Amino acid sequence: MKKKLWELVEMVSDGTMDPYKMFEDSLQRIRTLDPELNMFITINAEEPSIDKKKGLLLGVPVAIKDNISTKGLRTTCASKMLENYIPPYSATVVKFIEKEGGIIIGKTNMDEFAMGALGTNSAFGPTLNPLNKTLSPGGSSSGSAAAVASGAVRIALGSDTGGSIRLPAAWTGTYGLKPTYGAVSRYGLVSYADSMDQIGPIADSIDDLAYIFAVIAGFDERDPTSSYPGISRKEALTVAKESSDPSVLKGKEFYVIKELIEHKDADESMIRAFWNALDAIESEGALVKTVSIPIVLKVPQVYYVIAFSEASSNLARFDGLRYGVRAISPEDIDWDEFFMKNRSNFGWEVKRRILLGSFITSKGYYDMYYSRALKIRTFLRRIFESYTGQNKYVVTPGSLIPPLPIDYDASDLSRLNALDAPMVIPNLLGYPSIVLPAGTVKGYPSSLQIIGRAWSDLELISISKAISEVIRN
Amino acid sequence: MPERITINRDTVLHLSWLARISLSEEEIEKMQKELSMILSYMEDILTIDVQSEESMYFSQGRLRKDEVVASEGENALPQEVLEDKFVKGPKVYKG
Repeated sequence: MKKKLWELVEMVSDGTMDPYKMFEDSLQRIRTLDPELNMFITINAEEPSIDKKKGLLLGVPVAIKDNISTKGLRTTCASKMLENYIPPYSATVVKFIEKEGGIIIGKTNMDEFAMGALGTNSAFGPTLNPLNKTLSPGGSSSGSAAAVASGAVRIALGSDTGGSIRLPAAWTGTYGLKPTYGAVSRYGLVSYADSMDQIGPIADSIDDLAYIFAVIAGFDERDPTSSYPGISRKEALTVAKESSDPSVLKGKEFYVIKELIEHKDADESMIRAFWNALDAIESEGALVKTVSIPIVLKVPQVYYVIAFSEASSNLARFDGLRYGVRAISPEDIDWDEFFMKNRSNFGWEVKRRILLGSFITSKGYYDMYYSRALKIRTFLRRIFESYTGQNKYVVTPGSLIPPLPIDYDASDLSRLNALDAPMVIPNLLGYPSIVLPAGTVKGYPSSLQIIGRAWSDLELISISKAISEVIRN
Repeated sequence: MPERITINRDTVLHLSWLARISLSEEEIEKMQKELSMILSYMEDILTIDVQSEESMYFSQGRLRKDEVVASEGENALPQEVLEDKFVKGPKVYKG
């Protein structure tokens, strides 16, 4: 059986494994695979110096999504706007990883500024799905998921504003966690929609996912939305190292949302696979109930209103003066023209979203759209409070449809409703959620998503461990 | 249900100005079509009645103590934008 990450780290610590082995193996694999899959924007091939004896990630290579700042290592957000940007500081999560002996092996490809569901909105070209190169790996953390799925790395970080960790996990057959809002520091993450953005891990096993989560979670003074005391590393490590115990499923209630599984675009065989997985969980004594929540078909629209509004404000800093390339010299040109020219360097999807955000937040439309969306958020929370909490979870397929072709035209966002609807709920509520693989259907990965109440992250991990084992058998 | 919003060329030009993003002639045309398409999708939220609900905010944030702490990356500014230790920017007056 494949060794768990923490077991490998112990081998490095006690001298039974070369401390550089994981890094070298990973680098070699990246060099072989990346020319075709385009998973990385920047590869950090510089030989690290491993001088520590201990550390939770001693010698472990980690891939980092390219919207997370890495001191001295280019961070582009997959945008022409930042194609030469080298951050003067590292994100808190990067510091945590490095402090524990982890090695940042590269910066992964993504949808520009995390705006997209297919990984195709990158100024550096799309990432291909390692399982089938004609398909999208899902976005926006496309490169991070592909890097894990291809075996280039064991663990990667992504960011998730409306499914950007979990959809790629679902489409590449990997594990993805969107933590509770405030559980992982966002300091150093380039904001897209800051009330929903959250950094989280992608891994090829639930044990490794839990392990890296233990390293990156925790309070950070530098992120004003970080919660104190947050998740304790000690507790998180205990849960990460625990062996799976299917008996934890006994008596747990799992709520299936009728409108999702009956979605007009849902793929029949994916839904069948979903029910099969739930049968396995039920046979361990869990209770599966179906509930009707009609509003879920409109939550993507609510998400877009909030996301675009926040984006139009967050991305105002990319003007060529504060951040971003200076496309023209500031000589003999006025302020407005300088900004407008520089900001035309954004890609098309980013331009669309900023303009829509500007529209929604302009006079006459603010209350109609934005204020209403904030109220719907409260309304949604009241609904989901009934189905989450002590021993209660919402369960959905990780994706209602198989991965879309890499050349799929996603310009009409309403065509993505089936993708977005299961994904955006946890972001709108600040809830944690895990996507885990549940076998394959006609060669496509099928998956489950488990959503819990805020701060149930460790509980979700225990449950996911149990479910993974039950499904495997 | 409020009246459908129409996005015409002037709306796109106005939004391009508000967002300070210049658009080519071709982009203006494409933007007009696509904004109309996406807005008609987002209009679905207008059918949800939530007048009695409170707004939900996540980003209220926590204030740190009012103490001076060193920030990171003090020498972060690229030399090419500096002139006599000032950042060189475009002029702020018209004409």
